Amino acid sequence: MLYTDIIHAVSPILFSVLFMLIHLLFANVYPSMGYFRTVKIAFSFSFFLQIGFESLFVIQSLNQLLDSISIVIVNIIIYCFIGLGYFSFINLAVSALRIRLLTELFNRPDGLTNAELFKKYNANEIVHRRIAKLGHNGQIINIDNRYHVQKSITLYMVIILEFLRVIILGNKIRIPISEIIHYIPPNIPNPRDHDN
Amino acid sequence: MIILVSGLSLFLISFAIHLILWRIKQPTNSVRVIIVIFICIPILCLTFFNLGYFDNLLNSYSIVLSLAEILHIHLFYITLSAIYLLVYLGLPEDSPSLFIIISLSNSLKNGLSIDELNELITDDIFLLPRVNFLIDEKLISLSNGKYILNPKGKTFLKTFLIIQKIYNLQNKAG
Repeated sequence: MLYTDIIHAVSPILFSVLFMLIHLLFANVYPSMGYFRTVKIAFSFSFFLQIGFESLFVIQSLNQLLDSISIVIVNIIIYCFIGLGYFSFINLAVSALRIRLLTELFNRPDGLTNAELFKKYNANEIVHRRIAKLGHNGQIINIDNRYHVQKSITLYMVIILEFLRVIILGNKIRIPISEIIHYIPPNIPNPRDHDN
Repeated sequence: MIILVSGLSLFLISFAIHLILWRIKQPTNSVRVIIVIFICIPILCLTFFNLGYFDNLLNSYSIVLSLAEILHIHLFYITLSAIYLLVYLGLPEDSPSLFIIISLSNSLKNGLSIDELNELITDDIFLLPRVNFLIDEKLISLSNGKYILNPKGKTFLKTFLIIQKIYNLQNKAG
C-alpha cells in the first residue's frame, strides 16, 4: 500500500517527464509545427494520461471519495505547475531579451559598442516580433492599422500580475480592470460587409 | 483532504510572512529572502510536528500521516513555492509582450498604431536596464566603450544555446 501511495504521490513528476520527452520528440520530428503548438500537444497528451491514471485511483477508492478527489486536485495542480515551470524555462531560450543580448555579444568576441549592440537588436525589432506573435496567437487584432487587445489568457494573466504587483510590491494598478471586464473586443471586419 | 489542506496552509503561512515582511520593508536581496522564508517554514512546522505541538489538533481529527502523505504534502508545497518564485521574479520588470497588452488595455476603444507602440517601447526602457543587469551579474563587462561577453556569461548562454539546438528553436531569441 505504501509503495502504491508513493507512486501516486510522484505520478505528476512521472507524467511531467513524459510531457517533456513527448515535446522533445515532436519538436524534432515536426519542427514546422512551431514551438508553442508542440508544447500544447505534448502537454495535453500527458495531461489526459494523468487524468486517466487519476480516474483509476478514484474508482479504486470510492469509499473515500472526498479524499481521493482532493488528492487528484493536488496531483493535477502539481502537473500543471511543473508544466508551467518547464514552459517558462524553455521560453527563455525563445524570447528572453537578455539571452538575445548575450547571443549578439557571443557572435562578436571583440565586443560591441552601445550603438552597435542596439543596431543589431533594438526596441523596434522587439515591437515587430511581439506584435507578430501576439497577433498570430489571437491575443491582439489589427483593424485599420490600429492594434486592439482581445480577451485571452494573456489578458487575464496581465490582470493577475497587476493584482500581485499591488499586493506584494505596493505598486499602483495600471490597467482599467472594470472596463476590461465589460469590454467587447472588435472583430475583424468582413470584406463582404463592404461589398453590401 | 489532509494533503491539499496541509500543503496549501504551509504555502499560505509562508506567503503571509513574506507579505508582512515586505510591507514593513522590502529587502534588497528579495529573492534570497523569499527562498529562506519558503525553506524555513516547512522545516519549522516539521520540527513543531515532531515535538508534538500539533498532537491535539491531529488527535481531535484522528489524523495519522503516513510517509507517502508527508512526501505528497512536501511535493505540493515545493511546486507551489517554486511557481510563486517564478511569478515573483517577473513582477518587477515588464516583458515587452505584457507591456503591449497593458498599453492596449489602456486604449480599449481606439487601439494603438505601430508608431505609438514604438514610442512606448524604447531601448532605454527595455534594453538598457537588462544590459545593466548583465553587467551587475558579471555576465558581460564594459571595457573601452565596448560590451564584452565574460566566461560566466558564455557558460550561462551555452545552456540556452543547447536548449535551442535540441528543441530546434530559432537561434535568435527576443
